[in-house]
Amino acid sequence: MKIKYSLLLFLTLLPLSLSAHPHVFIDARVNIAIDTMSLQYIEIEWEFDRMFSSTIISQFDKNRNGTIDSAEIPLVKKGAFDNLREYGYMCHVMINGKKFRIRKVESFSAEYRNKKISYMFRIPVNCSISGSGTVTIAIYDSTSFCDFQLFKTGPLSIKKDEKILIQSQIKRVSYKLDYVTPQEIRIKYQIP
Amino acid sequence: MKKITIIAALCIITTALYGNPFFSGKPDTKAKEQNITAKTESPGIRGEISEKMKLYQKEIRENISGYFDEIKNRNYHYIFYAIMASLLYGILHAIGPGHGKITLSSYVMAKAVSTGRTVWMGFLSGFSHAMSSLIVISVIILIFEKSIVRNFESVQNNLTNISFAIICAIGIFLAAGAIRLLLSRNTPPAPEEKNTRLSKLSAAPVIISAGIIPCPGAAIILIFSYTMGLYIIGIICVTAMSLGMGLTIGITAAAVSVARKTGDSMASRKNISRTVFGIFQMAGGIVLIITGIAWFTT
Repeated sequence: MKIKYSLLLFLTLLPLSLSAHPHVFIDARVNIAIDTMSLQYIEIEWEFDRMFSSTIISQFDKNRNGTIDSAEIPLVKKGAFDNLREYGYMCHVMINGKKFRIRKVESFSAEYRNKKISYMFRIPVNCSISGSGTVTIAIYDSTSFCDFQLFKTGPLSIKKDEKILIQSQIKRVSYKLDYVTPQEIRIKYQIP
Repeated sequence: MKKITIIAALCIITTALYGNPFFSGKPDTKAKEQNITAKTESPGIRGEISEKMKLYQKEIRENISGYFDEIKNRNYHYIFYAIMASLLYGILHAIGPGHGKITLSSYVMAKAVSTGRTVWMGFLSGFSHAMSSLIVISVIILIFEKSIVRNFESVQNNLTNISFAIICAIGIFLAAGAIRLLLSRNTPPAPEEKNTRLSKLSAAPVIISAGIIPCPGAAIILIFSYTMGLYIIGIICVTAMSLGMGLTIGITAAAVSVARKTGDSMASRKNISRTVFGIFQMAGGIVLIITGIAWFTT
């Protein structure tokens, strides 16, 4: 009877057991700046897949020259970026175990190269740190609409004061509440 | 009975239908207020499989983009590769959450539908889900050539609202039937009799609720093909993708149907079939009502 109940449960959950539903594929790169006083900022670069890039081009390339000009960047920002505020810009940052809420971003830029759109933006953090601690950064979409993968080459760069000792690691983890398994960047710092 | 309740609860928890976050929409409160400390150091088998599926989809999408480049360069035999890749993309894409599987699964759990008809319903749901993108995008291109994305988002939101209203109505219909069944003193009809009584018309809302929401995945392929000046190839590829999605959802529906039949046969042996039919139907109805209400309230 146990086997039959298990079969019933398995078959019923079959349609729900795999979550692989992205419509947009994004490669991401992270750059952080840290000095002996604070974690200053996190810079993010996203490179979209070609197909989604074409939807951005079709919508915002107003002069139809096949690229995004500097005059069109504010249109991209307003039309296909600012709404991400509702989603915390898909960036999930923890500083020494405490969630850092992203309230604004700066220096947004977009460019079209190799038939792909890239977004670049900076998250000002300015969080005081001292001694040793850990910063974790994960980029993911809890709605599963977008799939984020870190670039295979150069996914992370760190701009730091020479005195600070840094250890970094990228690992795929599971965030239970969001049912996601993103790559998490874990940075351990030690300030003498 | 606990198990059935758990199944219904899991169905609700894993329901996920959202808009494009770049253009519109808001996440639910949970996503906003989440505490990401609740994590494990490993994605687990489910996570590994899920990530693999995403990578395959990404790779296929990249390949399709490359095939379009070749077709643009008049290497027309790449049309065949693009069609095959689109079919495969549709199969994989429909495995993810959404695409009407919750509605169909709940309906099949609630109603004793024959496996053949279930497969057909699943196929039509998946096929029409992608094909509705084709209709919406084509109309937008003909009428509002310059703002495909914005208009698609707007049409999609309206159609999604209609879809969830239909889902809610199906849920109420099933729950009312369950109450009638549980309160009835008569012996419930056998599953075979139910099959013959189930008209095509009563299954139509289930197919429509999934089918009228245009699939963003299909829309993206169409917009891409349009920007490449290869819209006809895009239409052919999305048709292939629709077939793939129909195939996956058809198989999914068959699995649920088999699960339902297993439950039925266990129940009839224990002489508790009326209660089990009633609870199946009530659980399916409640899942759909909650799914519909959740859509309009979050």
